[in-house]
Amino acid sequence: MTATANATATPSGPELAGRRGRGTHWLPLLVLLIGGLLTAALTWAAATANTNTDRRLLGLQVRQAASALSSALPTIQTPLTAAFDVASVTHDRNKFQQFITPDVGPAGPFVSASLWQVVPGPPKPLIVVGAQPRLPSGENATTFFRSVRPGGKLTVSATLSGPSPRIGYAEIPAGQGDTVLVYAESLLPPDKKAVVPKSSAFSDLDFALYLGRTQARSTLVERTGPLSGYRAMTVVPFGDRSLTLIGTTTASLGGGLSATLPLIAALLGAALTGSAVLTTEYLVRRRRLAEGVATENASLYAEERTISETLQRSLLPERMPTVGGLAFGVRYVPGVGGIEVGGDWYDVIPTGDGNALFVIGDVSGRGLHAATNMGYLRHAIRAYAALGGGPAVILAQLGDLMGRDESGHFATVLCGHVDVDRHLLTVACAGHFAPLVIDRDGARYLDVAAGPPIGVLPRTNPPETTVTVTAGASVLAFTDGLIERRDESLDVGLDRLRQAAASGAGAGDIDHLVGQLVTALTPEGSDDDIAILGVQWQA
Amino acid sequence: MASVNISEPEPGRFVVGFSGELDIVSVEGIEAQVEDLLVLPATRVDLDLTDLAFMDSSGLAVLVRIANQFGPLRVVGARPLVRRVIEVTGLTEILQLHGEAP
Repeated sequence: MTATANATATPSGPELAGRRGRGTHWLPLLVLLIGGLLTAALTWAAATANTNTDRRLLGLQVRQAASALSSALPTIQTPLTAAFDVASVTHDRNKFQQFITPDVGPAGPFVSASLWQVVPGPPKPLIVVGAQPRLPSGENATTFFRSVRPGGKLTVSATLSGPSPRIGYAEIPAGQGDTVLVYAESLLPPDKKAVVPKSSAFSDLDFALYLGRTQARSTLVERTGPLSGYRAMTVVPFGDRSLTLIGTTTASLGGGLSATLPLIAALLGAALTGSAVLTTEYLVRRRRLAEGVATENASLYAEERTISETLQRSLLPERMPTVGGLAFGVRYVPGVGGIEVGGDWYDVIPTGDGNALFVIGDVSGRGLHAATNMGYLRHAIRAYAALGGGPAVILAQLGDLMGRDESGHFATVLCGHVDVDRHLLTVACAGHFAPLVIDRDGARYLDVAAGPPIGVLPRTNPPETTVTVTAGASVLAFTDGLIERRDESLDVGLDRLRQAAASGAGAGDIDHLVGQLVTALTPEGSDDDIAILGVQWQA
Repeated sequence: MASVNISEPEPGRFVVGFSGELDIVSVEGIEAQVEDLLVLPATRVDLDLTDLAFMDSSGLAVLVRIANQFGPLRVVGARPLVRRVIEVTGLTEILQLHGEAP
């Protein structure tokens, strides 16, 4: 004996707003953070790649330059060796002069070339071509000449300082004894300041060239200018010594794009991050707005539906009265999807003599209007029942009361009287479905002639039908939602209910049967509401 | 979806045809047309339900409203499904069921 409903729980507006409204601010910040990190990483990667490329290219250039220097050795040594050999073979010092002259002077590699007798005694010049040799100063000259070994290896002096610094080379070509050597001096650039032609492959290179491995002012051969930044260094052999070349770069060797890539990455990343943040911000705001509207709609919807449903439920009996010898089973199922509830209702009214009246009805239309009308009818019926009338009288009085509704709205009502002890069922019907009687023999619809619904005609006088039922029998009244389907005749739905009731009878009490029927017959997603009322004579 | 079609085969006699499905949702869509036909200068109104596939109590209320205005109506062409709704509801007195549409 419960008035159960499969009502859906309505979402609570404030709760929705609370749950979804918070915690959206962080999204643009997150995008900003991620975008910023990505941009920084990209910029760093581009810069690092550029730096690495530049360093690799610098190293390569320095090695190339050094190897070019190293390969210049023959241009120094070959004329000296050749001139010495010519003089040696001809025993004519003048041949030396004749041979070497083109290489001495502004056009040639040397500023001075000479032959020296070094053994025996102190070194003394045999012939000098070009400028006077500056020679390593003092004792150093003797030491230097003594250090020259036969065999054709070029011996390189320290740089010879002065207004125009020089560097000296000495050689005793192979197979020429050890008494005479050839000596030459080359000019170093003024102030050892190197000038690299713009057309040179090394024009982007700043470098310093040192004789030997020591980087000192005294060992400096030449340099382009002060070096700054990352330096590449390489050492190549040069005669009996070595040359150390240290290079740095004045421009990005990887080219303009490589150098500007980090900047491009940074700017582009910043722009993209900015627009992503703005877009996210916009979307978040849009979503918040949409959620606000949705929440508002949901809460309005819930409110409207709740009002109607609350009203309707308040008009349905909260619990069935206790009537000795009778059991009741009722259900109300609101339709789904619609905002408005229907106008189905049921009622059980004890008559005071131990018997009871039952009513089931359906007001056409939906929403507050239907629910209000339904409440009006229900209480009117209770009033007429209190006056002691039977079902037909009550419905006739109700028809008189309601008269004709010009809007066309009407109510179908089934009213029944249950005589507990005499097992009598009396039914009158205003446009409603006849009730189903269920007993040991099965289930069948009561043959009752229906009058027009309440509200259609100014007066109505529905017929009344009385039948005798067996002990344990039930009478089942219902509204159209339980049996009506869009694609079939009412008779099909009525027969489906009859069969379901017949097979379910005896499985339990009337409340159980009613629940079972509602579960089995409620169409999926039906938007019509359902009321069902069962009364059972207890055996 | 429901639609209303009104014809006047002879002066003062109107035939109102309903087609589609006449239910709680669709009656709102034809509200204006129903209002219009309620003020027709009719001496007699017949309902042609040949093309009406479904009708619920809200649809029935529309027919009752027309009957309230013009008196009992001749209903022709009602399919069994629609016919049963009128019968079960006990409205045959004001919605008088006849056979096929002429």
